[in-house]
Amino acid sequence: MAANTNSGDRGDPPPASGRQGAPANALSNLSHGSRLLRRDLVLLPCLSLLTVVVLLIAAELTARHFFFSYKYDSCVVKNQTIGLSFHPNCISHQKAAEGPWVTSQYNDCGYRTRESCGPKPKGTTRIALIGSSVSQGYLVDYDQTFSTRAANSLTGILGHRVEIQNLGRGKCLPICTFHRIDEALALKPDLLLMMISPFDVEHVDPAEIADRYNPIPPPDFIGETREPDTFKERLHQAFTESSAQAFARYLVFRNPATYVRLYMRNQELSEYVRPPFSPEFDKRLDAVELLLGEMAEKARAANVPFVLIEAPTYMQVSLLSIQTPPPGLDPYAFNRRLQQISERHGIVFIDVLSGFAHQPDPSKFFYIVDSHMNGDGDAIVARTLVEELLKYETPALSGRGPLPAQTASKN
Amino acid sequence: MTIASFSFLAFSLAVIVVYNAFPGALWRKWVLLIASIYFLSTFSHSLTAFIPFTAFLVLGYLSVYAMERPYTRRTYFLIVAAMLLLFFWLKKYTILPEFTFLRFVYTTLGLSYIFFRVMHLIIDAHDGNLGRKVGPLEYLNYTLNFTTLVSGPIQRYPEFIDQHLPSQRPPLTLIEMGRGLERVIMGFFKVNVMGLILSSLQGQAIARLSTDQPFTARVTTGATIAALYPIYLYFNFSGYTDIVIGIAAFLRIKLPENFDRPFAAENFLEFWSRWHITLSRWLKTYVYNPLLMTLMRRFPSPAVEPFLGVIAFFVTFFLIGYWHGRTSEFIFYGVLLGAGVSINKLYQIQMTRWMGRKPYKALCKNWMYQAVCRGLNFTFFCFYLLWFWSTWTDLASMSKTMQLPAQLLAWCSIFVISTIVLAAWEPIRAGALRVTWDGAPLLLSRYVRTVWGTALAMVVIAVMELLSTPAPDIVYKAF
Repeated sequence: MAANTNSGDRGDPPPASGRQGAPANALSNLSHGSRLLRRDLVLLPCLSLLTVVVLLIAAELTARHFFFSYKYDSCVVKNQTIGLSFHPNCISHQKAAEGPWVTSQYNDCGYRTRESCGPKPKGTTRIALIGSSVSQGYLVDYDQTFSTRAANSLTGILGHRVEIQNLGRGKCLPICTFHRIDEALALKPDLLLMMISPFDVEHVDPAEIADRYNPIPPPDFIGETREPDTFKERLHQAFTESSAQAFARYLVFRNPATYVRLYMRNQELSEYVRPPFSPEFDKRLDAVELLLGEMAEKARAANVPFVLIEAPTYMQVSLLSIQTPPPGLDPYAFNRRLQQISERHGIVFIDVLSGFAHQPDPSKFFYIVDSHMNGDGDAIVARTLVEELLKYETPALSGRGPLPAQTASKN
Repeated sequence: MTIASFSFLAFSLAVIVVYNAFPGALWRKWVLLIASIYFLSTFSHSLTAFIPFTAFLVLGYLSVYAMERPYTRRTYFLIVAAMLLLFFWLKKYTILPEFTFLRFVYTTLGLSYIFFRVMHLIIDAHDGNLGRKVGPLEYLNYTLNFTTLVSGPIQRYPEFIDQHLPSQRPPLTLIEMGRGLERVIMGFFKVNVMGLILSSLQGQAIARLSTDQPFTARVTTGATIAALYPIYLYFNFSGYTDIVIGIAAFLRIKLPENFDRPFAAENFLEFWSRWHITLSRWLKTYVYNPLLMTLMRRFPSPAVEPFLGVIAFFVTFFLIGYWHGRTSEFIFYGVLLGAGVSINKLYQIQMTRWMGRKPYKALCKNWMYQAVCRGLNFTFFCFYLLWFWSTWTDLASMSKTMQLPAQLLAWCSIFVISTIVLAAWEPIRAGALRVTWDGAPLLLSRYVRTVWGTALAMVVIAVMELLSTPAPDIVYKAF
């Protein structure tokens, strides 16, 4: 009963001094000398620092092995009209750190679609999809992209073949999409579908809108990363591309509340959930509206219904999942503005964000470090899109009448 | 404020700086008191919640004060009984009628440990063992000391005062600070990393257990559920102890150790001299010894003396068990503890009689016998802890899901695996410590410990900052 036990009796080294029966205390006394040597004042901090460095390197190497990402698309080629496009009949492979390897296969026009972009087969409904990386299904396996899922679902429901020619391309900002409207309409689609994300709008430069009819010059460099010029850039790149850092972010961002809290620190990146929008963001949206207006005119002239959907972000979906989101944040603010713009130009706006409401774990639907949607997220977009599309009476999708937007007059 | 949190570290750092800023004893008394009251206030924002707690402290002080004045023996027993009753009443033990309990919400954080300290003061003041008068500031410093308030360790008053208010303070050397920091890091690692992992694994196993599982899976799951909790509890409680011992070292207060490699114990009795050591010592001093003396006076025959020890052990360990909680689960937990210690003691008596003292001692030194005893001790610990962390309803449900054959096989598995693991661990540990450098074990050199401590600190920071799942709070905080 609480008898003092001498650890030395059990074959352990005896304590140098102090009480018996307390190995932790004994450990303290068993350091090599109870006096700190002068060399230790330098040696111990250096050892500590070295341990930190070794552990960081080990963490980085481990993360690179288990949290490997490869985002370079070898099918990307320079394009004198829209900057970049995909090489026709090309296959490439990419991998998000949090996801599996995916194959990107491009058809004879360089679109991410299995079906040929040639003349529309008889009895087939063709939808042309334009937009940026989320439309493309970036980092998502072909069969899991929302465009493929939606096409398959519509084919099953309508009883005739529905194909989606996916013209989506990563980093194709609204002005690039604007350039692709003629290309999309040339496919003789039954419906024109455009997806836009808040990130696309954030990158719009209103000053460039005046030059919107000029071709977009291709960039000097097509590759995963540009070689840094200076040591400072090299250091910055090493940190931003660190797999350990990405893994750390992955762990932190899995919690929607934490993600929202950290994301809000970046005022510029979180503009689209903070109504009223800042004058800068409003100018960007005005520029997008100008482009959408002209695109709607062209679609109307070609007698093609024009549908706009928003690419939901992890931020918006996280806000939907938090029971008490921070005050002043509105996940639907960006949606509402797109809805207003669409109404003004006779475009049908479909809200796919609502499909993510009441989802307890939003991290399931995104590559949260990369920020793109994954296959599960695309499934929700596809389901909501199909449900909403079928509500409209369009000849292509039901054969009963035109889409309301088709007849809506521009305000 | 959670002990194993960065906010507690920041708070402690502030206290350490202020406490050590001036050499005066009065300064230290007030700093420790204000710090402890602030720490206590973080657990409730309602002043009324502290009224019963304060009343207990005041009555405790008045009792100690009374013991320092002339009084009758009857008064002493009345005071002891009153304090006991007050403690049971405030903690709402089910042996008391429920209608007598206070109806408003009040804090009892650390009340059990305050009770132990106050009883120590009363009894030792009565016996004249304190060697000094207890002033109100010293009393509050001792009972409310924020480093021991939540879950001990239970330090003796003379030791505390000698370290807190000495005439000559020992210098706070870099080595002492390094050792303190090492303990804090180790404590954080135990609570926030090991505790988190083990409790998560046990939680997953509980969720997994179902009648749909194949027989072998049910055995594995059941064994995992029962075996992980003791290991988790060890990391949780010893981690807490490491943290507070480390923090107190910066205040130049040397808190007593609470753990001494408990799973290396070869029997029940030895286990409890290595687990929650300060509680065992307290009960030995204030329950076991007086009770045994009383019994020996009542039954003076040498033939029954060993059996009187068994009775005293049973009562003491029953109280250890029952102290943990006020429900019937803890009464049964106490009965199991009492039965365990009694059987252990009777076995020792019988074996000594049967084999003779020397052969029995020789048998106890046999490595295979030691290994089996360690395995048996661990398995029994896993068994009686079921009533510590679970309820009758949960136990019935788990038992129904497992069925008897799977249960028996699960306990056999725990026994076999723990025997093998603990048997292997001891020579591995001894072998590692035999590697020496500069005349002492290499693993214990400050260079290796610096590397180890830094690595643990990095893991702790990574886990605490990156994982959104907080580690479970200190289990003993609830007692």
